[in-house]
Amino acid sequence: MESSFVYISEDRSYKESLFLENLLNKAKKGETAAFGELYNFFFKKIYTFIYYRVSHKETAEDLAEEVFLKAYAKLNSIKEAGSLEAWLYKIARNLVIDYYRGKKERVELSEVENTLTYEDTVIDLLNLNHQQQILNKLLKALPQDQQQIMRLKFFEGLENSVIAELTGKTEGAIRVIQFRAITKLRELFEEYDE
Amino acid sequence: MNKELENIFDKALSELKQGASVEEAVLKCQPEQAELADSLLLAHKLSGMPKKTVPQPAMQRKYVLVPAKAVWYSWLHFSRLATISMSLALFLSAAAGTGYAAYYSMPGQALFAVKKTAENLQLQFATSPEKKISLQVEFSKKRLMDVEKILKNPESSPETAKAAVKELSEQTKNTLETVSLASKKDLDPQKTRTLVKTLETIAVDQEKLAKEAKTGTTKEIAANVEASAKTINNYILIAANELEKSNIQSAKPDLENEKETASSTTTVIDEQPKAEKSTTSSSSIKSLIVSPPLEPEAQPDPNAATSGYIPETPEPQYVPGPSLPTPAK
Repeated sequence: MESSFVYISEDRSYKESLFLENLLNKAKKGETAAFGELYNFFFKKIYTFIYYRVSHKETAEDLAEEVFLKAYAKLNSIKEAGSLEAWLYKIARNLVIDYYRGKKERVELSEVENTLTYEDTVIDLLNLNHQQQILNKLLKALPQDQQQIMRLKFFEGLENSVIAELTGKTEGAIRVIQFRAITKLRELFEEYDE
Repeated sequence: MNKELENIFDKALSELKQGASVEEAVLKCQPEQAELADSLLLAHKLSGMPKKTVPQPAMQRKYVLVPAKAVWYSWLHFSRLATISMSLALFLSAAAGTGYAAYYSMPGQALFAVKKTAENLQLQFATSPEKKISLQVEFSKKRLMDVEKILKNPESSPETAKAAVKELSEQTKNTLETVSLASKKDLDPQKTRTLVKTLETIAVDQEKLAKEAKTGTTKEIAANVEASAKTINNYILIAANELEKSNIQSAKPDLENEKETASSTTTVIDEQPKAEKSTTSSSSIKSLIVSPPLEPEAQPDPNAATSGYIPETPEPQYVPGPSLPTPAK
């Protein structure tokens, strides 16, 4: 039972990697249809990521379209399909920063970063149950880098590779931080319960 | 912190994300089930927190409006860097091939112009007058070798031979001009003596070639080569005169030797009868080198020793001055 479960899980990931690799190679050769498949595969993820940060549908749509326009223009700079998703997210993040900078005459990068990573832009605070409200409150007691990775990982469901690209850390560091954060949160939660 | 534990936890999170239940993910954490079960449950709770509703986006597919890219190199399956490197390598090998062919080209051939351009570039980049002179002398030797090769090759056409001799004459002229210019800037007698000796060697070689050519059917070529050698010898005489004037005392022993060399060289090209030549040449050189510097007002006797010795050499060798005059053509 266990081995069967492992097999199916890994096989699915492998198939997905092959699928993306194939599409990327075709798109690099100029096949618009292949790029269209990549667009279908990633557009909603990128749009959602942007929407959580700008909270405006049309703006998020425009920025997401721009992400794919930029990706289309520089597709040959991507060496392997494994890094494609993280690359798209990075373009999206930079476009969101540019969007906020364009709105104000002068804006500090740290202010934008704060908006993008630490504020409750993803969770629907009105519909949290009691336990979830406590968890959300305890989350803010964690160090900022742990908070950022917890939100990206559990609220937005991003892959470690994407989080690593967005935060400028290695995937190994992301695994360490997430484990420390969840352990700390568990301790805080147990103390709170007592 | 146990790295193995972090990796097991991360794998279990991946299982959760792909739709596995908490129980199934905990099973994956063996043998750390007990330690990680609570953490996995908490992670599951965090992931399950309600998110803000995201409106359905309109997928405009703006990339379709972008004109198709010119990916002419994509069929090669090469990266851009590889393509650029390959193009560069091809260009360099083509350039090297042309350079190689040009290096062995002869006057009258299309690639000879490339060779001349390369030589001119070498001269442009020469940092010192000495380097320029040494290059010009080297090129003079090359032109002489070209003529030799062409004359020895029975298949070479008269046009090629003419072109080669023309190049030799031009190169001789350029060499002498360079030497003259350098001498004006630097009148170091030692250097001038070395230069004179080098030029003598070239003149002797040219005279030898002219003699060889006279025996064949290429009399016109022989005359041209001989004229070129004569130009050099004229210049040597002028240079010897100036040298003597500028440094008569210090260089006297050396110049006596040089005088003999110069006289022996000039006798080869002298077209006068041997009896007359043997007396006039040595005495003329001697008068030029050993005699004290001439006063500005003093004019040489046109009927003196030099008058019959070098008929084509004009007066400049008697004009006193700090710099060497341009050789007579």
